Amino acid sequence: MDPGSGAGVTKFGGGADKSLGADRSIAYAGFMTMPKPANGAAPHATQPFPHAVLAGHDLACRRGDQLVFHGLNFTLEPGEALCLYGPNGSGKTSLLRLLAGLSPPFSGEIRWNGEALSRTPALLREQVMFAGFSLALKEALSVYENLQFWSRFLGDGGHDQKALMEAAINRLGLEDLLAIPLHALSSGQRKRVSLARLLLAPRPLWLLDEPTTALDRDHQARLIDLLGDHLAQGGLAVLATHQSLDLPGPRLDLDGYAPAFDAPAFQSPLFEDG
Amino acid sequence: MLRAFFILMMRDIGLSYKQGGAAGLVIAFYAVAISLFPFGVGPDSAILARIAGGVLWIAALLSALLSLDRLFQADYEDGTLDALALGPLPLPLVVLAKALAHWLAMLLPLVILSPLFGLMLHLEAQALPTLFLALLIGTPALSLLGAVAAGLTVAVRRGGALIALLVLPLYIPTLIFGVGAVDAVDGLASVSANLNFLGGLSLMFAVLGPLATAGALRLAME
Repeated sequence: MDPGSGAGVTKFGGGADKSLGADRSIAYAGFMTMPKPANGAAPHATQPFPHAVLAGHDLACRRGDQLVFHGLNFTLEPGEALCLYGPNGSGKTSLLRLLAGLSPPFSGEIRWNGEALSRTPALLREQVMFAGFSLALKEALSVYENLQFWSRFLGDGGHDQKALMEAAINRLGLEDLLAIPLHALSSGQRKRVSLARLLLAPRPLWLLDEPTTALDRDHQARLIDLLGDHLAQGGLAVLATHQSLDLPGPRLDLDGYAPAFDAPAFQSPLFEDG
Repeated sequence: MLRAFFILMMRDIGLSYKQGGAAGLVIAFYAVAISLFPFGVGPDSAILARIAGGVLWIAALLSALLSLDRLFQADYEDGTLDALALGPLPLPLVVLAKALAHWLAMLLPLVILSPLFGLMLHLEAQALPTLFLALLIGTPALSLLGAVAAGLTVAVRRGGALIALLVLPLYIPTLIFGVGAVDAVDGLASVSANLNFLGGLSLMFAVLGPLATAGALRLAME
């Protein structure tokens, strides 16, 4: 593999070549109603996601004039979570935005089931749930109104939005907060509302930027449970975090991919006059 | 997809009338700005009637500007724009839904109130329906063009003044045909020709505006 891919990565899957593009067309056709688990988990937890592999090949990211990381490779199989570590500014959030398709990589390729994201920019648009540092919630609306908007906006008509919404409220313990306007909530409570958005539409790939920040210990455990259920049904997750979370899947320390000053990427014409 | 479009539009209309929304402010500004003219120009009804069409149109342009700076900025700052971009609606349609909501929440009330202000400025009664129709057909262009400027300045703090500089020159064609329609009521020019041009401008910006704005927003989100 590439020279930059050695550092810091403990696991490489070889699954990037499995081209399962055909599966996407029958995305939810294979849905079966399994018996509801006794613990009252979300109804969508019973629907397995279609098999999908996320892979990054030789990714590099530029922020302003600076190369943030380069030579990044990873493969993420269904049921795995990729935990991103690294000091502030090492490009964790930038990588999440690349994977969401919100910004293009400086070089390299992101593949979903072997299909290149650069060729079809909308490829991941409806596969991804992105919970960034900003919460995507409106201060003037109540918790319920905020969730209701996202539930209706993201709903594709094929799922029971009401049941998904109830499950989301239930899983993040928001029952008592529903009528309260968002501006009256603490930062941990806000974070929980924004995480509830993940459950409002069943999407296989979760991209989470520091999901445990501001959460108390009880709710951190709930979040890990939630992630575990998501992975158990064949979902994938990429998390930027500073904590060591007990999740199956590879770990990536972005510190190992910061460019040395004589790195070849720095001789690209774009950097000549910098 | 149509459902998501409608839901986003209704949310934006709702937010404009909630705490922090600008709809009330825009309507009040329109009323106050127009009421200043009789004080500045004097109570001569002939003069007021002559300038009424222009006054109402310019007041509408300035009122539209007042609310444009937050059109995308609020969503950009709180991360909503990222989530909207990953939703079921393509970004140009997200823009169109938000621009349409801006028009319905902020400008449509002005259009509905305008015959009243026309009367206040002694505009002839027979010109009032034309004034109403011209504003109804022409003001969507203000939201659609304004969205482009709002998209370009979404990451700029205090972008409001920049939006005014960007967008006011582009409003000139709409202003010319809008006032032209009202002035043409005296029979010296064709009302319908002016209205046709207004409609043409609005439709053109309905197609080009969202595409340009989506491009600008994508750059800002990178």
